[in-house]
Amino acid sequence: MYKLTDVFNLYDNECNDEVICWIEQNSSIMLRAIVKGYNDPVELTSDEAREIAKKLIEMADKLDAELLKN
Amino acid sequence: MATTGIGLGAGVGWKQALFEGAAAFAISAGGLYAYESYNAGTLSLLASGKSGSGISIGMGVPLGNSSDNTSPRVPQGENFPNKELHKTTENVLPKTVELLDEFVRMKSDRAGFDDNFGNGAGTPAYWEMFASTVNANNPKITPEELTGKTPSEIRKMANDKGLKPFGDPNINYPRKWNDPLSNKQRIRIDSAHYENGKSYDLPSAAKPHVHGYDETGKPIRDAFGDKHFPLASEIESLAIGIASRIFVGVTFLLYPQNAY
Repeated sequence: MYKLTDVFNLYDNECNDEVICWIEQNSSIMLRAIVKGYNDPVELTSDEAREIAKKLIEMADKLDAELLKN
Repeated sequence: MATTGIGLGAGVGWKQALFEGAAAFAISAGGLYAYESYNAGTLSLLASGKSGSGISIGMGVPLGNSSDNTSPRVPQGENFPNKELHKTTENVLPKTVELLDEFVRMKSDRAGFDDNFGNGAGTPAYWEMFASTVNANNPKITPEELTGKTPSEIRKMANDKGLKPFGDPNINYPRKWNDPLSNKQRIRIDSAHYENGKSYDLPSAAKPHVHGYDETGKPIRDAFGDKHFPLASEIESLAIGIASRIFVGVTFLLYPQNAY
């Protein structure tokens, strides 16, 4: 079982939307955005989109640094 | 708010007291006016003295005509100009500023755990009330107000709350409304969502619905965490309205004794 690092969850558990991103095996960024229990995409406000974008950029920078190390 | 008070400096002559009183009144009044703008609630405390702080409010009359220095209205005596008076008057402004600073400091130091303010400042209830007034002017929208409504009911509610409609005037206008103060989006009527010609799985998103956003821009959700509030059909709503009126009418005709 590989270790998930930097897991980012946009919403709390009381919400039926799920937006999660994480770095997997120090080699890739995974992004999951789905309405729980349904096969629907998540609808975002511009603020929410910016929040995810910010986190993705942070993760991308971290991943680049990891890839340079290995 | 009109606030007046009388205070004469102790240990000084009447001329000095009058002059200082006028200056103190003018400067204190200015300070108080500014403070009133900052927080009207605290002003009453300052003026009433319930907090125990000193109040430098004085009373006096103008001394002479500034355009005619040769005919002073108040006898000046041998010692005029009184250096001590001038020195004292110079201190009025810093003292007033000190007083206000002290009041702010006292408020911030004590308000967190002390309830001896006249209007309840410092109590949890006070801060709750204060927090609730931060966004007092932004319209409030609750999940209940978005549940089971027809588009026309949503439009009426948005209008009643003073929200600003925006968007394409040719397509179901208005269907989007912004906050009149923050200009953030607050309500949006959406048609059913499709993806590659297929309806969404989530039933509430697969039919016309309305979205609501709170004052900070966060989506309003129902008890199940869903941010899609399905719209009631105008025709269904009209039909139900007519049917219910017919039912009431028939009931009244059949059982008039139960009508009241």
